[in-house]
Amino acid sequence: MREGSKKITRQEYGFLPKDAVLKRLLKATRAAQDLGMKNSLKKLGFSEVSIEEIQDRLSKSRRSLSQDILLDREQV
Amino acid sequence: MAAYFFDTTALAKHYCLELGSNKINEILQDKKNKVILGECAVTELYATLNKKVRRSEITRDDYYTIAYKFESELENGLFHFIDITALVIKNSKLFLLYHPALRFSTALHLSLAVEVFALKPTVVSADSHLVETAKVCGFKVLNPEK
Repeated sequence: MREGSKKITRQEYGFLPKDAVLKRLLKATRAAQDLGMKNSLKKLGFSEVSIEEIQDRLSKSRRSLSQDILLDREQV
Repeated sequence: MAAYFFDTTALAKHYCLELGSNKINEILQDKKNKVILGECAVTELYATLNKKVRRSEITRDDYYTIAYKFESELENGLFHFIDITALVIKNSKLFLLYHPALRFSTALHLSLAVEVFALKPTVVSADSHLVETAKVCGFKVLNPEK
């Protein structure tokens, strides 16, 4: 085991072939959709707005969303 | 079909207009692209929005409205998901052993990207540690801020 330039190999990381990956993506995506929170949020009175309105609401923040994520990662 | 693996910093640029948002939205708008998220991206996104609420940068109503938008786009098939398994955790440990500069979250995102390696995805992130490591490991990479 060595630090640095370690290429990903199937032997070491055990990743699936393409067909199996596509099937797994489909299954995981359906599960994520089935377990989505949209209906819970709808019951609380929320509804869909445009992406522009979302961007407008976040534009008032001190830092951008990705900057906040990066800061959090550094602090862990 | 072109596959893209977004970490949370890439996903965030869809909802927050910031450096690199145009590149992210171009990828999302092209129907031929398959945009893949690791399951942990949603948790990281919502945790960051919660932090913004705690700091009074946005209201709780803002947070829930943004969450509604994400959940709706998820339901409409804008994103594909890869799930966390025991192999993902094992591979995240490998990443941390080989690349000590990685953080918990970046190691987890990278190990989820490995799960879809056969699709030859482009790893998209504004996290320079993640992008550099992904490149060294053999992924195509895109930092939307550059």
